[in-house]
Amino acid sequence: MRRGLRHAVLLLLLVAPWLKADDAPLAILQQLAKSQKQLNYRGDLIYQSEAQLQSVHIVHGVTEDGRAVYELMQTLDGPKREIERNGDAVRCLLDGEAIELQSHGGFTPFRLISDAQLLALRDYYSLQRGEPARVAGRDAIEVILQPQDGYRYGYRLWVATGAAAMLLKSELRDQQGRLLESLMFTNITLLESLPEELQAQLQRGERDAVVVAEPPPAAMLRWQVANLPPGFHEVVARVDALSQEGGAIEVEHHLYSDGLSSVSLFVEHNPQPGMPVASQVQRVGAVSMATHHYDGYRAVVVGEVPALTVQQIAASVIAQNNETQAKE
Amino acid sequence: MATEEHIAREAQLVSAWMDGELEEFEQRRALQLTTGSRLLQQQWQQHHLIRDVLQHHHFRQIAPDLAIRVSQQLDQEAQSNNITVPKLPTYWRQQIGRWAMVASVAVVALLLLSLRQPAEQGQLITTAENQAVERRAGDSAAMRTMAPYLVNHATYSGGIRAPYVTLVGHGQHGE
Repeated sequence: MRRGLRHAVLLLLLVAPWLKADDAPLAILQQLAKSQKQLNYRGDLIYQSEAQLQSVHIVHGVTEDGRAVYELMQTLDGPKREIERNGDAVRCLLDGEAIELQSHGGFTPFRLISDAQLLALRDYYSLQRGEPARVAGRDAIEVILQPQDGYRYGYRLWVATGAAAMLLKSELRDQQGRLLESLMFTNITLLESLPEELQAQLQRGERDAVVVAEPPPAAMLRWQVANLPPGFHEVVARVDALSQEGGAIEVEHHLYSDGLSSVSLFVEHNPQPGMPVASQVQRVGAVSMATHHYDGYRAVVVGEVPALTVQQIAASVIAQNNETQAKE
Repeated sequence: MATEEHIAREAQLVSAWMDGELEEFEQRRALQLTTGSRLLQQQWQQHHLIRDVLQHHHFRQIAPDLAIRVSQQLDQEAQSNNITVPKLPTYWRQQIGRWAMVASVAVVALLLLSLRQPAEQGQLITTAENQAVERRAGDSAAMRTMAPYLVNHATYSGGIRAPYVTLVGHGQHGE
């Protein structure tokens, strides 16, 4: 009888993670991740970050096979800023300057979120279901993700209930609960297929398609991070062309994610080799960027994570072959 | 009982004075009463403390005690240096003490007025605006550096939030 009781307790402990009260928020996030790969919509949102307040028009569409995303984003007030995503190509017009990115074909635009990653979120965030709310005329449910350490920000997400589990409002907060960034749809129209504006974009994209060389084999990747913050793992490693003032430069790009927060490491030739430049950290809204200079190379780390995370990654870049830290 | 009523009337008078509801003649009378009553001085201090806290000017609470603290400090210094202060006749001591108290209250009142002046003229607001402008300029420069990296990052991360919104929301030059 006692043995049977012990077995029952052991079984309960083994399955305990599935019985937690935060299972419901996980289910909401899972639904959100799935619907992101299918939804077509048109709407306006308000973006707020510290003193910045900006209204933005967004048109978003996904091809029927779910492999390519088309998006148009335009500011509605102040200087005209525009981002056009056309499958693998991205064109930004930011205050009169153009930045273009032509990625190699075949990557999946939606890295978020596998079931395993969803479950792993519970190790680094405490999940909680908030109160029902109403955003952009739609019923929504709130999910609160409170970070367990200083390597990631907290999220409050308002997801539309019903068939289309869409993100209607979100807030990013630091560990002290201070608001860093928020965005909220004020109106949104769900569409059955790719919006008309993006149909034209799709046709233009097919006409002007650029043939891009295949990504280099993994053997050509030279760098890795020795001291990754807990919970982050590599999801992309590739060589990219980065648009700069003097023309495109080649960079090695590594993307790390904990399933929700993500951060990119770019390693590039130092344009001013030999010049001793101290590590710098900058922050705009929720985005942090750290630059660390090695001998002949420079590591740039960018992401919607605290300064601690980008600093730690930038300062622990090592060569893949000899496992020794690059000479500073 | 009559004394209690008298104290209550005086307290009301001081309260009305603090609220700026008295004519000049009544103000003089209130000032005279306050200088002669420790109780009214305490009420005067508390009234100012409450008003300053409500107006978020906590630092002003040091002002009403200024005369007392200066007086205490002078007493301490006199004692420590064993300086013998020649005693004045009682009548003159009372008169000088009273006038000193009137002067200190007047100084504190002027100090309060001068402290209030900048906020009303918007100097503090101007400073805050300057800081906001400086921060915005700093943000714009930082965003200019970040933009190419952020475009790449947003494209591949495919985050749960609209990935490009930070770029569009901030721009590179600010407004």
